[in-house]
Amino acid sequence: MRGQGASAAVLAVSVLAGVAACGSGSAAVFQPSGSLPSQPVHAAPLPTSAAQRIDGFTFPAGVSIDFTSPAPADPAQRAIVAGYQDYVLTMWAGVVSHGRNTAYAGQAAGNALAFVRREVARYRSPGRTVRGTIRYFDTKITGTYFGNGASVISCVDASAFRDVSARTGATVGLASPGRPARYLETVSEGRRGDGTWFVNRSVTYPASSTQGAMCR
Amino acid sequence: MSTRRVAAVTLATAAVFAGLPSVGAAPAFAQRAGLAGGPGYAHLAYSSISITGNANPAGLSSPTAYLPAPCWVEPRFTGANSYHKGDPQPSPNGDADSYWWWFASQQPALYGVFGRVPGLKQAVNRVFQSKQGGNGWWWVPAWVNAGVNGYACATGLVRALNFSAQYLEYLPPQTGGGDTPGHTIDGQILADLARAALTLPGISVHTNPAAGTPSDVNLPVWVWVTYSGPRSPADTASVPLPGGGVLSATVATSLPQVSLSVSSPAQAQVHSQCGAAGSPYRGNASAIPPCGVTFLAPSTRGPYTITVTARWTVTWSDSTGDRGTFATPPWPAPVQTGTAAVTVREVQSVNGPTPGP
Repeated sequence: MRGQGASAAVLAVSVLAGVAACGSGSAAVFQPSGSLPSQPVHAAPLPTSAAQRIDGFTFPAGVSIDFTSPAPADPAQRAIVAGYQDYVLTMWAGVVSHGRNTAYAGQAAGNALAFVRREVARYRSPGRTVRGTIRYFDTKITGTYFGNGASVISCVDASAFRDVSARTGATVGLASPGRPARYLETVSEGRRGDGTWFVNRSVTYPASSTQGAMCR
Repeated sequence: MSTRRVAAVTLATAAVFAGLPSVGAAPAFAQRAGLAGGPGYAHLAYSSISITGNANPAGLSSPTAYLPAPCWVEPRFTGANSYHKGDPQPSPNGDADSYWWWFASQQPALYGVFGRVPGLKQAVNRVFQSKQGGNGWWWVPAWVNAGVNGYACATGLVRALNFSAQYLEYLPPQTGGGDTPGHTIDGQILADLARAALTLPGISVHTNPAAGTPSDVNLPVWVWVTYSGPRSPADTASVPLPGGGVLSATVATSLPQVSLSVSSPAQAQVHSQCGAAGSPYRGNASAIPPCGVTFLAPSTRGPYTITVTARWTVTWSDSTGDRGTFATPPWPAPVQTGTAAVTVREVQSVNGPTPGP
């Protein structure tokens, strides 16, 4: 059924995958990240890929993005979790840089990218920023498909992550007003040809809902 | 964008052209107008599958719901819907060309790159123009749309199946197969969808003495259940086929079998001939019910609990004659449970002198 056309198609897929990976850095070598309070991302014990993607970017004092779940022992699973954490880090890098850091565009697609763009747009003005701690915990891989697709769930506690006035420091509200303070985030991921992963769909459930009950 | 990236995209476009099979290689499927864009199940993406009967889409939408095949490949676009003037359309539902562009847009940064390559849009569109009006079908990944598992599956699927047009295939890429994600839609996958969406009726537990009324030691408690829906629910998932037929799978359930358990088995005698509905009380309080409990001691430490379980056997059969069952685990047990709290008193008897004449 495939013959000559098949090899060309393989080429198309691989080349396109390569294009998608441009600017994305090398394969993730994930290490437990822990907290990131006021640390330069490239100096923190974070996924290598994340550090490269947002190379040179430093989260400001007073912003802490915590991943508290242990890293999976299996390297393939670690790469999947790293893809999720890269997505999170590049999103907040875009936010706190008021849109100047665009590494998120290489780490998010589909409705996940749309969400990130909305968040970045919300903080486009230098007069607004985020402060505090957002915590990602109970992160789990719930499915892997053909070695090239995966679903990940994670609880998020954003109750101490706030939208503040950059001038006065006064709190305006939660950093992401469209989401509850505590929720379950589920994401779909795809694997690039170089072994790194990106997020292409995100669905969240409030902790108060049946689906999000594990995050209460 | 760097020169290297432009060159890569251009090369990719050429490869897409070369990779498509010729129209003549397509199977002689009859066109069936109306399938592409036709009615489907709202909780499935890019699918013409419908699920009818005692089904609830919530069974597909839970992030922890079990479903072995949250994505699959099914015939979606006829040759009449390969390409339309003005493609790609904002919605990917209308034709194969628009579907391709939608899927491409789900790759990080790729869509933006495409937009900056002169002539690329026209080149991709020509691939689908060349199939317009052909006898073949575009087979596409489809998936459970609620949550993320289905789309994650489809993301992996398109890379694994190596379609000639990357995200879709002008030929039926597989025919039949087991219960493996990625296989062409078949009876097993349809049955899995129907099973995940199947709604078992809720049960209400009734007793005599009724709830809130104390019973006595050695006095049988009658137990029966009523159902909030059909006792033997069934649903059917079906998908139109290129040949004009329909592939369907029906999930059926047995009559439920009710069983009882009690919180203090040592203080109770369980009467367990419950059948599907237990033993509705008919007015003979001292008779031994087929389904009920006789408590042998008072409930001095709080009410006893009677747990009532209705259990079904679930099977499937498809329109080709295949059939099977659903093992538990991994499938959730097909049961519904209810409880009743029963307070049991000690019977006080008085032995005194027999009254004289």
